[in-house]
Amino acid sequence: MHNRISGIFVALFGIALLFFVIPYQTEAVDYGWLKPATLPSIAAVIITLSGILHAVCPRGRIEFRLSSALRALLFFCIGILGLCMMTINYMMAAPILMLVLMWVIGERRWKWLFTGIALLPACIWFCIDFLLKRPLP
Amino acid sequence: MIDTHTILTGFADALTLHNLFFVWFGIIVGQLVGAIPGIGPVMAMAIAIPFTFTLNPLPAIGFLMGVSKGGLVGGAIPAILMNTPGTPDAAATTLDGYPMTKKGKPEKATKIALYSSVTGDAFSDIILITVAPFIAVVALKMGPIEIFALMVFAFSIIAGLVGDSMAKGIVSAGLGLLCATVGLDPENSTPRFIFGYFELYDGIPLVSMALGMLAVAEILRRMARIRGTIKSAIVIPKAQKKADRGVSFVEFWACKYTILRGSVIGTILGAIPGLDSSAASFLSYATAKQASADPKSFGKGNIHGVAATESANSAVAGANLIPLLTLGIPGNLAAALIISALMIHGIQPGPLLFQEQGQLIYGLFGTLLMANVLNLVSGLLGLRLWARVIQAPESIIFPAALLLCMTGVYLATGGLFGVAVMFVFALLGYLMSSFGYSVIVFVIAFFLGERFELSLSQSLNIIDGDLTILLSHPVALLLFILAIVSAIWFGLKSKGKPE
Amino acid sequence: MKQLLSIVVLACIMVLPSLGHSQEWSPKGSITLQIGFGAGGSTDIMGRLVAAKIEENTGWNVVVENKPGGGGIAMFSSLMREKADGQTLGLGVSMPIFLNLASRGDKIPFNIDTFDYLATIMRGEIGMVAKADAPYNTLEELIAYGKKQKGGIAVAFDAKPQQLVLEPVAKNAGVKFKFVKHKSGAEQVQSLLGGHVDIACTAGEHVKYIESGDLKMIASMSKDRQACSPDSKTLIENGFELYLEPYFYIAAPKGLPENVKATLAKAFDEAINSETVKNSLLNSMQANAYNLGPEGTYTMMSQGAVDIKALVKAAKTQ
Repeated sequence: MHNRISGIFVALFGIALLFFVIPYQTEAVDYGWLKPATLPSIAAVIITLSGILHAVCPRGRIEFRLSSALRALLFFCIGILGLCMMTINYMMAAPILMLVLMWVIGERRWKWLFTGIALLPACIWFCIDFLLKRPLP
Repeated sequence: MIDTHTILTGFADALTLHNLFFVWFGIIVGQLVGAIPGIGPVMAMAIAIPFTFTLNPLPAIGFLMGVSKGGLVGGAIPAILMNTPGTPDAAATTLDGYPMTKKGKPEKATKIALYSSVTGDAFSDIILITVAPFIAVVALKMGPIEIFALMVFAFSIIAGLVGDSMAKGIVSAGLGLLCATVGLDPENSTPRFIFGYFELYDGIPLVSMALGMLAVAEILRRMARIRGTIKSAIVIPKAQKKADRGVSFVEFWACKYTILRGSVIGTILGAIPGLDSSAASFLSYATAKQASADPKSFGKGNIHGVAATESANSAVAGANLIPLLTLGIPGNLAAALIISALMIHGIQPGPLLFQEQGQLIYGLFGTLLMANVLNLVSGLLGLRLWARVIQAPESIIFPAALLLCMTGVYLATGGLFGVAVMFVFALLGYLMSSFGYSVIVFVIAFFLGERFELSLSQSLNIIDGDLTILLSHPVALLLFILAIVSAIWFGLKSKGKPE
Repeated sequence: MKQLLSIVVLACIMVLPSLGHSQEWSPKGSITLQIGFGAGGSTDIMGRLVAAKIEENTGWNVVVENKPGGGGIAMFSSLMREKADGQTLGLGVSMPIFLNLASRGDKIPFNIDTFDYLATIMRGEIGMVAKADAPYNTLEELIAYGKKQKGGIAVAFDAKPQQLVLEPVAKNAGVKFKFVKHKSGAEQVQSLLGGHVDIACTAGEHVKYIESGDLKMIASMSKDRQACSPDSKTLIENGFELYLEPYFYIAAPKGLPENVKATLAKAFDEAINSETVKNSLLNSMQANAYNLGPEGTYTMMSQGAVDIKALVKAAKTQ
């Protein structure tokens, strides 16, 4: 069932590309052999057709479990928040990101928490900012 | 030609303690940055170039070559141990390397990776030293039409990697191709799919895509899987038999054809400017799988799978120097960086290089051979270190890997935009692999896509509607026929064995 | 009394220069030089060379940052929003900026007047080159040869403006050019040596091959003839009022205070004209350091933008 849904979804994505995204996100040129939209359109057609084919006769394994996907999404969101904090200051964001990630995973041992939260960001700062003189965000 | 005196003084230059120190230092740096997800050897070289201003040319280039060679060995380590390639070149190594780790044989897997990597590298270096000028002339004959034919052939070979559902494999390839078209189009330089982000003019940053799809998606998956007790990131069974820890000569010898094939593929693709080393490792992997008596064991921890990819991607490194030293044309990004380093030292890579700088070139050749030995030695020492590091609890390994990916992509792409792109691809990679769409096929289609479209545009313009021109390109015609044959062959094979 | 006066005068003499000095601005903290291209490329190396020399000359701290994307568009789009205090500067190349402003200016958030200009570092010299054994040596011979070829002449190029300049040449001369896009000058040379194209338009990459006798120059696409092949005529000498001169230049957000601008321009001029930078540019890019100064750079930028706009317009109306 998941297979069929994914096939339908892929086919819809291909159609959306073909009719909505490609015309608006490419420029028309009036000369030359390979137009900017040519290859993307071919790819979109291939995606659509294969998606339909897959929805009609689905094959292959699926390893999708909602519970672990939601948990992965949680870590994804933590990562994004870390990224947002980095736009302000890297040296503030990195330890907080590490703390939250490690805490949510369930790490409570001080030794490892200290390594991840203090030692690692300090090490990165030392190598990149101090030794190599490349600015961190 | 060059007299023996120049050759001997060149080699003597290479064998000084001073030079040895810088090459070794380069290799250690390379293995380290290669093994840390997010920071690759190309970036390390780009950062290191200004620091080589002060050195003499030979140690400077030796150092950079050391970083490049060490990086190829280092990149395989996290690919095998954590399923997260340290560099895009090592993407294919995850296919069989990580299953070997899951079987409890991480040490065996990393050692065969090291041995095949060094063997492939040495092979291409020897080809470089002996027949470079000849190969370079042949490689020049590979024009846009031939490259396009080669791309088509590569796509047909990769059809052998799609796995249990052809439709899903084609969707992956289509998506990879589509993502490769983001940015300026090759013929008219008009922006496509940039959605207002000027950063996308140059296309989706390769490191963002590769690390997002391959590394971050896997890191998220692994972090989500930790429930309750926290284990080591990998557990090597304590009471493991010695045979499972190392690689015996018999086992290595059993891989001789695989490694030789990988080395040849890597050398050929490396000598043709503009192709990428990851293409070589995928091609080598796909052909090794097809040549194997037991293709089904690939992807489940076959030692040949690791040997095939690592020999090929390392062979590219030496072969890239063939067009660089003989013609002054860089084959890939690492080679382009070597060119800029040479130029900073006032050396013009180009047709006159061998005549003007014979001694330096042979010094460089000596350095390359020395670097191979050093790579093996420090690789063996380094593997012990990484095997220890990776036994730290997974609660620190995966968050640290994520932070390093973010930092590395920030540095490589010059901004947080690249990091955001990496997260987008992490999401895509997670969904694709959950629903059984091959991430590897996506990645390789992306790698090949840009060159595919460019060479298609070039070929169409050269042919200009006159198909008789094709008749004067026998190599291209041969490749097209081979592509059709292999596509049919793979098609039959996959039909013959329904799952 | 006289003594007192002389003391006052002396004091004034001593104070005045220091007054002048205090107006001569020095940066607070480090200056960031943003480069619109990736690490390791020729623009990056150029920027780092100049930055290192400025640090050495002035004692300031100059941090180099790579902001690649769209041939500098990404970098300049963010540079325009920085404070105009001289602490953040950008290094770009003129041609891709001109081309994007001309062909899709409405989508680009800046124009030439959005920035203050400090200096140019060098000028790229583009040449139309062919393999040494090609049956033509000059543009006239190439055109004569092209008229005899049924399929036309395959021309390699790596940037749109080159095509824009050569299209009117082909049209006026009545020959057919098949334009084959390449990724870089090195790849053009590769195609040329392999015999896959007939001529190529390279920016400096040709010099060492002309010296070695593998390639020859058909025409210089700069305003002047080039040092590596002084006998090759320019397009203008051949009767086509066309030329291309990509400049590498330094810009800052609009509205720099006069003293800041003057101090920075002086620092850049000293660095660009130093022996180390000159020699390194000659070695790595086969080009001479060439600083137009703040006014000269602004004139060049405004004029170049107008010229390229005209070319783009001409190509569209064809």
